[in-house]
Parts: sequence; C-alpha cells; structure tokens
Amino acid sequence: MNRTIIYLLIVIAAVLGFVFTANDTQENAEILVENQSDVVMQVKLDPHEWSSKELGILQSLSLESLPALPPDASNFVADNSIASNFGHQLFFDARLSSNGEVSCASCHKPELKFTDGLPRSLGVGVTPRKSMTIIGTAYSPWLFWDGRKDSQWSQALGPLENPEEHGANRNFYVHIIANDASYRGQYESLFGEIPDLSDAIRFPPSAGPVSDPEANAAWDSMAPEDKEVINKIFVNLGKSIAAYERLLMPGNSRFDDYVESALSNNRQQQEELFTESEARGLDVFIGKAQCINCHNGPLLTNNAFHNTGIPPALDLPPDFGRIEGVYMVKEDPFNCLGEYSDEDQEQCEDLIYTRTEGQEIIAAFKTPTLRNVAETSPYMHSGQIPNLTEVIRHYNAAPLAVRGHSELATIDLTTEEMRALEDFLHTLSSPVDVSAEYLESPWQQLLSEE
Amino acid sequence: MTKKTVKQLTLSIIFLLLSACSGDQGDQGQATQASNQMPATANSMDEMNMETSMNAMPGMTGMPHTMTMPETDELGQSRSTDNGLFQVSIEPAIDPLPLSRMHGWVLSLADAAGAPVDGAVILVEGGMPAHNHGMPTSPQVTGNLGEGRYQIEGVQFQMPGHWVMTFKISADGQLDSVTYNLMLQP
Ligand code: HEC
Ligand code: HEC
Ligand SMILES: [Cu+2]
Repeated sequence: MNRTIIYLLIVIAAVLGFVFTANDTQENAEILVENQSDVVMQVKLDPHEWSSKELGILQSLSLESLPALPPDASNFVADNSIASNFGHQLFFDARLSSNGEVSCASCHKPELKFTDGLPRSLGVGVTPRKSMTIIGTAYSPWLFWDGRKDSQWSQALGPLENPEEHGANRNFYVHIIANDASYRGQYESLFGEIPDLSDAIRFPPSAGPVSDPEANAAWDSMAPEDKEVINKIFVNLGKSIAAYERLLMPGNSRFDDYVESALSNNRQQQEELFTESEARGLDVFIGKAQCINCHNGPLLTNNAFHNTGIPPALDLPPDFGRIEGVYMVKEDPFNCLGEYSDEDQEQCEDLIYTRTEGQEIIAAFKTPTLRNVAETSPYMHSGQIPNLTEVIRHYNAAPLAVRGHSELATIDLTTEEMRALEDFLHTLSSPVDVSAEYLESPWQQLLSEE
Repeated sequence: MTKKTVKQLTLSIIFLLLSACSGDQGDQGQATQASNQMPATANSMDEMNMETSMNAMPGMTGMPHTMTMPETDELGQSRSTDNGLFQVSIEPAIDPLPLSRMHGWVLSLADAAGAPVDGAVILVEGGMPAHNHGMPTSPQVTGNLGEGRYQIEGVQFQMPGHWVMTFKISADGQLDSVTYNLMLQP
C-alpha cells in the first residue's frame, strides 16, 4: 500500500518535472496562461522583443534581403527602356483583343495592385482562375497558379490567345503591330524590319493554334517558314510586355520599416510602426502558425507548389494544378529550352529538374506573394475565399483536400491570435516602386498631351 | 482502498496530466520510440509529427523507421551506408544550404576499405517527413568526376526545417543506401 503511494508520487513528480523543463527551454520570457479551452499555451510578455534567431528570420523576410534583379537571359530586351515603353503601351491596349475591349490591364489593374478584385476574371469570357498580381513576378521561376509558364515573356503570350481572356490569335496581333505606324516604328527599332505581311493567303488576318476552329484551320494552312515569321514577332511582343512588367517591384511596406527598427533595436520606432496586435501577429506568422514554411523570403513566397486543401469551386471542371501545369510547361514551344528563348540551354535548370510526378503536386498551386495581400481580395486560385478572416480560419482548421492531399496540419490558434495574424497581414501593403507614369495607361497620357 | 483502485487512480492521474500538457507533447512517447537520438525536449511540431507521417511520404518508401532527429544536421559527416558496403560524404556547392535556390552537390563514394568507387549508379531522393512532401525538383547525377566523386545537379529545398536525403547506390553489382538528416534554416 505504502509502496503504491510512493510510486504514485514519483510519477506525478516526474510528469510535473517534465512539463516545467519542457518550457524552460523557451528563449524568451514567457508565461503560461490558460484560455477558455484549458489548453496550456505560451504568450510572449513583450511583443516587440525578438530573439536573435527571430531577428534573423525577420531580416530574411524584409525587402532589404531581396537580391538585385538578375538579368533575364531568355529575353535580350528585358532591360531595354524602348522595350519597356512599348510593352507598357501593349499592356494597356484593348485593341489587342477579339472584341476590342480587353487589355492586360482589364484584369491587372494598377489601382488594385495589378489584380482585379474578382474571384474569376472577366475578359472576352470568364476565366476559371483568379487573377494574380504582377508585382515582383520578375523573380518568379514559374508563372500562373499551376506554373505552366517559365518566363514573363512566355507567360504574356498565354492570355493573348486564351479564348476567355483577349480571345484572338497571333496573326491578328501581328497585323495590328505591322499596320500601326507608331507600333511598327518601335518594334523595328528593337527587333529589326517586319517583312511584308500583306499577302492575306500567306499571312491570314486571323490565324493561330487556338480553340477557334477557323483561326486554327487558317494556321494549319500556313507554310512552316511563314508560321516562323509570325511566331518571332508574336514572341517579341511578349518580350516587350515582359520588359514593362519587370519594372513593377514592391516598395517598402510598414513591415519592412518595422524589421529595420527591430534590427537596430529602436524600441520607440518599433512601437510607432506596429501595434501590439500586429507584432503578435508577426510572431504567430513566423512561429506557431508556421506560415513561413511556404510564405518565406522577401516576397513572402517560396515559388513552389503546394496542396493546401482549398475547396474547389463547385461549378468548375476539376483543377489538378501543378501536375498538369508541369506537363504544359515541359511541352511549351515557348519555354526556356525552346528556340525562341535567348537563353543558353544550360541555364534552364528550373525547367530541367522540376518535379513531374508525385502525389504532392496533385492539385498543388503556386504559393502567392503576400505583399499587398490585404488589397487583393478575394483569395486562392479560383477566388474561393472572400477575405483574410476566412483565409486564416482555413489554415487553422486545415480541412482535408478534396483532390490530392493537403500539406497543412491544424494549428489551434486562439481568437486573439487569429485577429493578430490578420492585423499583421495588413502591414504588408506598399506602393509599387516605379515612376508614376507606369502605373497609368499610356493612352490617357498620350491623349492629354495632345 | 484496494491495490486495484490505487492502480486505476494512478493511471488516470497520469493520463490526465499527460493530456493536460498540450497535444503536441502527447506524441512524445511515440516519437521517442522511433528515434535513438531524440533531443530531450522537442521544440517544434515538425519534429514531433515526424514518425507518424513517415509512412505516407511519397517517394520515400523503404525509408528506415528508426531515424535520427538531429538538432544540427549530418551534412558534414562521412557516413557508412546502411549495410556498410560504402562510405559516403556530400558537399553542397552553397554553404549554408540555401532555401528555394537550385544548386549542385558533389557526392564522394568509397568502398568499406576507403578506396574510391567510380562508375556507380546513384539515385537521389529527398523530402520532409513531417510535411509529407518530397523535393520540388528531381536531382540527377550528371557526371562522374573521377576518384569516386559524382556531380549531382538540381538540388532544391522549398521549406525550412527537417529534411531527409536518401542516396541509393549501386556499384559492382551491390546495392546499398544511406540517409542524411538535414536542417534547413529559415
Ligand atoms: C481576362 C483577364 C485577364 C487578362 C486580360 C490578362 N490576365 Fe493575366 N492573369 C489572369 C488570370 C485569371 C491569371 C491566373 C491564371 C491561371 O493561373 O491559370 C493571370 C496570371 C497572370 C500572371 C502570372 C502571375 C504569377 O505570379 O504567376 C501574369 C504575369 C499575367 N497574368 C500577366 C498578364 C499579361 C501580360 C496580360 C496581357 C497580355 C494578361 N495577364 C492578361 C487574368 C487575366
Ligand atoms: C504549405 C505551404 C503554405 C503554408 C504553410 C501557408 N501557405 Fe498560404 N498559401 C499557400 C498556397 C499554395 C496558396 C495558394 C493556394 C491555392 O490557391 O490553392 C496560399 C495562399 C495564401 C493566401 C491567399 C493569397 C492570394 O493572393 O490569394 C493567403 C492570404 C495566405 N496563403 C496566407 C497564409 C498564412 C497567414 C499562413 C499561416 C497561417 C499561410 N498562408 C501558410 C501555401 C502555404
Ligand atoms: Cu515542408
């Protein structure tokens, strides 16, 4: 009997000892509090105090850590200012569409941080996916939610021939350039003379490898060398648009300023820049919620593909994300290894080594940047989630994926932590770091100059 | 009080206390069994969940269940393959291991006696056991540099945390493999 009681006491002592030593190892001063559900958790006493390890993480997320934009070897006009001005005009030109009403800027509006505020975009038709910001995409090895493009210039060719977006075809666009004196002049100063395209049999006004059967048949009827002429010009339009897009970089956000003040241990400035809740939210973001597993680096994306169990939009055909995108990009004639890329083939490592199989790329989508995220609702690849409160609830609950397997695990955030995390996400907004004229349509500017 | 009720009482108190010290510590028992180098206190969910999700991990079948959970990684170590047939060491082109950046590794291979082995076929696989996913790339051996050295290209890690890399080696009609634990810093 006595022995049993002693045994019982020893066990209790051991368990208590274990609980306390486990918490001793925390780096910061933390206290144990019990919330409504009696779960023991840790709360930082001082939200503005960061350990040296945490400071290292904060620094890695700050724009200060963004390396200088590497040259785009696949696009020889990437950093040419004539090309970026030409691309700027193309980006805002609604003549480049089958109905004369859709430009890139229809779905990538500068005032909405180059998104459109819609769950699914409106072009000539309705797209199955949500628009994405263009800011900072010059750093992205993969473009689109499924990464089916591997360069900005190749990406730009996609929407032009997509029946739901600009809705026309490459011959249609090339003829517009050839017949517009200003466009023709700009084009030729960059890429050399446009050959005579007036023979409507050799160069039909509407032709391309698109879903429209007439344009498709016209394309099939063209001689290979004539197709080649058209393809080159079409690709060069993409390269010019990319030269414009490369200018769109995020500016310093309140978060970046906060990191700077934390790194220089400027306590007063820290408190001026971040509320207590925003600082706690940042702690949740890099700590308990492990958002930085995927939203890492200065653009808050790892540029990789993950299944996070976002419920598919019910009225759409199944979307398998990356596992389909990876085949499309491998087979794309406009990819890094194709003849239209200015790249040395050795530099196409992303395309060569990217994973093409495995259950984890089924219904996996590209981790989007979180810069400006508070201004780019709704969220996720088909706009399934309307606001940040619901986004955080999704991560907290981590539902099973309908297709493939979600990588997420439930987090157990308290109501306060969820609110703090949301507050923090609002600190990531910033102006685009480019001169103001590039944030407007050049066509309005040209009109007002007259 | 009978011995039996005391026993039951003891057990229920232990059970209550264990469940009170939060969910993630509840896994401790399991995880300890699965490892021979478990740190005294695990400080992240990743480490805790590791054993349970190992089975489900794609491309990682045949991974030994008893694996170590290092505080620091085994990158710099020269290691014997599981059946002692070969000795392996690895040398990434970038130090420390970079996040989200593709880079190459050089793997050095020797037999049990330490003599360099050339002409081996080496398969590279990697993943994060705690998250059920592999690498974003499929690394390949692109060349045998001589003296048992092999160039591996296409290595990339998309997340900070605990990674495992397995090298399956076949040389002179013999097959063996070795697994490295790595810690990617955020
Ligand atoms: C009808 C609306 C619409 C139009 C017009 C449009 N886009 Fe998009 N854009 C989208 C949608 C929707 C996505 C995501 C599509 C997907 O993943 O399948 C997207 C994705 C992108 C991306 C990928 C960003 C990233 O992070 O991967 C870029 C860059 C882009 N568009 C640029 C352009 C350019 C350049 C044009 C004009 C040539 C253009 N878009 C025209 C709707 C549009
Ligand atoms: C496993 C990787 C991963 C983790 C961890 C992760 N995210 Fe994401 N995040 C993604 C991916 C992938 C998407 C796009 C998913 C989709 O559309 O199917 C996304 C989308 C988002 C979006 C929507 C952005 C947009 O433009 O539509 C927000 C906001 C977001 N994540 C915030 C967070 C927060 C906050 C956390 C931490 C609680 C977090 N994420 C953790 C990978 C991750
Ligand atoms: Cu992971």
